[in-house]
Amino acid sequence: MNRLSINPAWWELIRITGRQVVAFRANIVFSLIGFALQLYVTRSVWEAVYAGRTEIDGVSAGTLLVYLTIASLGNWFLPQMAAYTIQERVLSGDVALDLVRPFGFLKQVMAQDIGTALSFAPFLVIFVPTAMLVGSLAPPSLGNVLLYLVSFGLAFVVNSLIAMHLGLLAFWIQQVNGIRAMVGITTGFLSGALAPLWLMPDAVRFVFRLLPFQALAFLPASIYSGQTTGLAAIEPLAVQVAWIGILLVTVNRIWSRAQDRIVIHGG
Amino acid sequence: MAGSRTMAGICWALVRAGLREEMQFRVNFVIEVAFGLVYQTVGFAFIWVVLGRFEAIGGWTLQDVTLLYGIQLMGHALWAPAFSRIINLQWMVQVGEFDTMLIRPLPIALQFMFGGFRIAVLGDVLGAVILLTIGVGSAGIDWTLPKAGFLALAVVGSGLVRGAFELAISALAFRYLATGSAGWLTSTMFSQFGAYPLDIFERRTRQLLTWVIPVAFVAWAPAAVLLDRTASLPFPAWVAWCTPLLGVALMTAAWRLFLHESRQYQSSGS
Repeated sequence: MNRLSINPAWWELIRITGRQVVAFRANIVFSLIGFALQLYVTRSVWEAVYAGRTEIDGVSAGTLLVYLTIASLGNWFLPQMAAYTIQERVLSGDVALDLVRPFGFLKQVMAQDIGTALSFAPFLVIFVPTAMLVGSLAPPSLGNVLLYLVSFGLAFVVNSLIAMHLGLLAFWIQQVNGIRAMVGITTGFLSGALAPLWLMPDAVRFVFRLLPFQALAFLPASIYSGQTTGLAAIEPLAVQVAWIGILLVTVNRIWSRAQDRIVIHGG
Repeated sequence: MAGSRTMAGICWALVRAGLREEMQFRVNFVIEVAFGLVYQTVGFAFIWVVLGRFEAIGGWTLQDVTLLYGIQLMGHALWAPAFSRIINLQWMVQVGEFDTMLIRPLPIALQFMFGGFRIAVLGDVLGAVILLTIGVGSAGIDWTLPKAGFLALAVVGSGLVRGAFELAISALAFRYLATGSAGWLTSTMFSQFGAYPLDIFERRTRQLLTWVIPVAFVAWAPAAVLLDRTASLPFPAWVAWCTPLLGVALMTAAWRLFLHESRQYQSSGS
């Protein structure tokens, strides 16, 4: 065989991957429409609340719009994959293969989540202008943007850890689709992406402060929109880190128990 | 075609089979019911939080919006248990599964209604009953006999308006095969905008949601009739009173389209 000839499998793989990207792109267009519609509705509701008022609790309508926009945008880039991945591996029995790999199972899931998020990254090119068109992304300073990026990174880890908890339930109840969907649908609200915690009634705010979901949207978006700025940003970042610590401990405990329950179907 | 008693027997057998199927994974079943309840009320939770603190949006108080929300949810709840399967039509056409519906001794409409009867949507129904009851009780409606009759009919009309759109778009699958995205978009438009008084949106959006996709008739117009607010609607009050008729008309048209388009069906042969 000619040493210079290239294995045709390469071209085949490139072609298939290309087609997958095309299929993915169609999904992304609808994701984009869904994102824009939701942001538009949320914005309209808050505009109706502000009607005539320049600010509420010291927050201007402009600042709130920046908050809502960045929170929605961030939410859209937090993949809901980990729970699904784990459930599929458990139900199909493929988790047996994952266990013999020289790389921890939960680390594999995390790596896949990062991969999914990175594959979303190029689509920021269309999501960011859409967000600016429907909402506003004008931050008060570059420092807020940089701190936001750190905070979003932490939000990403919290999100994956929450999803892992849900996925691991599959070892006990097989089907976690219902509970996964339930958490998915409530996250937008619990995370503060639809309404910032500072505008919520006291009792609701108290409860939301006790949950890890605030780490997904409220804390990063507060930093970006300038509600938390400079040294004060240490507090939300510390809260996020604390939640990562707590969730790491619990997920590892659940995982060690789950391993005793593994049943692989033959065939 | 089988007699009506036999048909009722077949329908009941289909519902029982569906129930057995759903009870295979019991915990998941309970969670799915809870999901329906949570899904339908989480949208309201946002409204509750906003209006709980700020009293009104566009002149609509929390009690008014609860009524509006309850109407659209009840319309959805009436439609969803029997017709949730219609969204699978695209898949059924693509893989040739629709063949099996053509050879069964039961009208296609009944097969759709009872063949995929999903008990798990009980959660949706429960959420709807709770919110509509609270809305009707607290919104301070100046009750008259026509209004009471209108509420019952408007809830059905609301379900018919939304259902007609979902049915019509599903029917296009016979011709175009892939209609999932169009169905998703319509469904999203109804669920995102249907829960609010449309006067909080810009004029062009309002026009689109009234004359192109009639989201306005799902809850806004009926609630305005009950609350004597028809002056704020972009059309005369009698149009709002006609919501139930609009539902019947749209559903009739959608069903005709469905039957017409089903003649385009070409089995995939698989």
